Amino acid sequence: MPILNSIKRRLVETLAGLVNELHIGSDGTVASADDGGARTLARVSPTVTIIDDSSILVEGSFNTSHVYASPIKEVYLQYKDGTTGEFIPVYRADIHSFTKSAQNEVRFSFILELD
Amino acid sequence: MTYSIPSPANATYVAKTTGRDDTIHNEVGSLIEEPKFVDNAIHHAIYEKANIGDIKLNTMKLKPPTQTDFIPTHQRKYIYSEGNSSLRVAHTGRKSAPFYNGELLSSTSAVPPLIIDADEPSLRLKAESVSSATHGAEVTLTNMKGKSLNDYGMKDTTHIRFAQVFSVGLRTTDLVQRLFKGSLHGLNSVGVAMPITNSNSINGENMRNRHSNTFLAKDFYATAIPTAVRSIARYDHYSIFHDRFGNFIYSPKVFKVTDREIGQRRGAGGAEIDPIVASANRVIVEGRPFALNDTIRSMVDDVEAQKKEGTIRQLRVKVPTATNEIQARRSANQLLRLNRKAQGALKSKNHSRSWDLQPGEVATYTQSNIGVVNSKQAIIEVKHTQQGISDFQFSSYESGLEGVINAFADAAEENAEAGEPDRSNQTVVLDMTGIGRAKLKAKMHMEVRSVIGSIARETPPTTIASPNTGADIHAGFIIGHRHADMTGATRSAINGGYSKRIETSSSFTSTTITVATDATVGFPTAGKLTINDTVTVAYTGTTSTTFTGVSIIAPSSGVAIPSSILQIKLLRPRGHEIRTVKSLKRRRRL
Repeated sequence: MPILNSIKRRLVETLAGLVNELHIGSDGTVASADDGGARTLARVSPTVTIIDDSSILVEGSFNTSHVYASPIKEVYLQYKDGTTGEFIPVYRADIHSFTKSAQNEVRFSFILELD
Repeated sequence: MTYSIPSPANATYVAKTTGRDDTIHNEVGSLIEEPKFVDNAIHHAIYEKANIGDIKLNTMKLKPPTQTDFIPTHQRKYIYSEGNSSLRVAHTGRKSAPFYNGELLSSTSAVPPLIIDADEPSLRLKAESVSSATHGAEVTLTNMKGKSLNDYGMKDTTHIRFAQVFSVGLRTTDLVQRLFKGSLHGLNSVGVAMPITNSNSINGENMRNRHSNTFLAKDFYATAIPTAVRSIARYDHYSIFHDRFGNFIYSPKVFKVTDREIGQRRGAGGAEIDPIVASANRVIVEGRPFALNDTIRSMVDDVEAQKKEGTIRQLRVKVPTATNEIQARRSANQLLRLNRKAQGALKSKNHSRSWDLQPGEVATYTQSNIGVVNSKQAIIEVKHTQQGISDFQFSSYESGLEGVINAFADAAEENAEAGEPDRSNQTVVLDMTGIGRAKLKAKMHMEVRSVIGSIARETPPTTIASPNTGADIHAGFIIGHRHADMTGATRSAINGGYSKRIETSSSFTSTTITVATDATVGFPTAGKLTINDTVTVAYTGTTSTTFTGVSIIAPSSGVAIPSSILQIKLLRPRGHEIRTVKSLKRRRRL
C-alpha cells in the first residue's frame, strides 16, 4: 500500500525545518549511515526551498573569504537547535579533496527527496 | 581485561563495601534504592540508552525502576475451583475475592500476570482477564483450547499463587566476553565494537562501547564457543565479525565500510540478482512462552505483495526475545521488511584485483547493465582463486540485514501444530498488516569555481561634492548605480562617472594651476586632471583658486602643460570595475 502524497508533503515541510547548517570538514573517512558528525572547518546556514511535494533543495556556498590549510574532504548537513545545543546529523558525503583558498569559491546543492 | 568503575559525581556510600558486593555496589546503589532485609538480593534498575531530549545517545544509564514495572508478590495461597477456561479464586476458608497489588480483584482491577501452582512453581498459567463473581473472583485463562488443569499436569494442585516472573542474567555482550575467559584460543582480541574511525568517533564514545541492553542467563557448559555466541546472537541481534588481524568482534554493526570500488571499472564481472534467503510475503514469528497455556505467535502478511504475486509464501521464524504478542508482531514486521531487502542481493563474478576484500566489508559496486551504479554493497561471501579472480555475493548495506540469514536459518516448523493458538473456540484475533514504504533519497551537487584574480574594489574619493547649480555639463556616460534619492553621488559601473570640469580659462605657472575663485569646489583635495584633453597631470593640494603640486603623469615625454589652459577635467577612477576574474564553473554530482 502506498504512503499517500499528502503526508509526504507534510513530511517534506517538516524536513525543510530540520536542515539549518551546512558544514565543510577535513575528515575523509568513507561516509556511512552511522556517522555522527564532521570535523568541521566552516559552516554556513543554507537556504532551504521546498521545490515540490516530495523534495527540498538545500543550497549553500563558501566564497573566497573561506581559506583553510587542510583540504576539504567532506560535506555535512545537520539540524542544530540554537537554544538547547541539540543536533541531528542529516547527511554526510565524503568528496574528492580540494583546497579551499582565496582563489576559489564553492557551492553545494542537495536535493532531499521523499520517494 | 581490567574494568574501572568511575565514581559518580554525587556518590554517597549506601552500604558497607564488604562481603560479596564489589565496587559496582556503590555505582548502582547511589542511583537506586538498596534492597533491605533480603538475602541474595539483586539490584533492580532500568538500564537504558541515555538521551538528550528525543535523541538517543550510544551510552547507557541506570534509572530507578518505576512502580508499574513490577508487582510485589506475597506468599499467600488461594483456593480455586475450575471452570471452563477460567478459575474462580478466593481466600482460603472464605468466600471473598483475594487482594492483588493493593486492590481487590474485580473487573476493573489489575490482572495478575501468572497463576502459579503453590507447590510446583514451574506449573503456571497465563491469566487474561478478571471478572467479579458472587464468591471470589473469576479469572479467565487465555488459550486453554478446552483443556483442563489436569491436562496441563496440574492434577495435584490445591492452592495457587499470583505472581510475576523475573529473569536474572548477564548482559549478552558481557556473556560473550566471559565465554572466552580462561579458554585457550589464538585470537588477538575479543571486543564488542568495530575498530574506531574518525567519522564514528565524533560524538565521543559513539562506536567504542556497543554493549547490548539484553540480558540472558543460559548454560553453555560443553558447548563450543562459536555455537554459544551464535545462540546468544539470536537474542540481541548482534553478529560475529573477525578481521584478518585475528580480532574477534561481537557487534551490532559488523560491516566495515572501505573506500574500495569494484564492478565493471575494475575488471568485468557477470552479475545477477541472487536472493540470500527465500522470499516471503508472510512471516510468522514465534516467541518464547512462559506459561503452560501461553502461545506467542504473530503472523504478518504483506498483503500488497501477496496480491501482486498471487501466492502466499510463508516463513516461520523463532525469535527468543519476543515474550509477548506485541514484540512478536514487531519482529515479524521487521523481518518481513528485511526479507524484501534481502531479495535484492547480488552475485557478481570474475573480478580482478579484488583479492584484499573480505566478507564483512562494504565496497562501492557498479554494474550498469543491471542498473546498479555506485551502490554501497556489503560482501557476505567471497571466493578468491589462484588466478587472481574473485567471486562475490553481496547484500544491501542496511543495518539489521546481516541478521537476516541468522534469523531465517532457524527451522521452527516442528511442533508448530501443537503450539498453534486456539482460534476456533475463543475470540478470534485476526492480524492484518500492510506495509507502506517511504524512502528518503539525497542527491548532492557541487560547484567549484576558481577565482583567478581578485583585488579590492576602488571607490571614488568621498570628498567629491556635486554643486547642483549651473548648466549640466556631462563628462561621459554612465552605466551603473544611481543613488536612490539623488542626494548622494552617482556610482558608475563602467567608464567614468561623475567628473568635475572647469571650462573657463585658467593659467599654469611652475607647479600651480590658477583658476577662477571657488572653481575648485567639488574637486578632491588631491587627484588627477586632464588638461585640454592632451595632458594628464597629478596635483597634491587645492585652494579656492589653485591646484598645487601639479606634475605631468602622461604622456611620459614630449609635452608640457600650456601656460593658458582652456579646459580642466577631473580624471577619476571608475566607480568600480570587474576586479574579480573568475574561470568556468566545474560541476560534480555525488
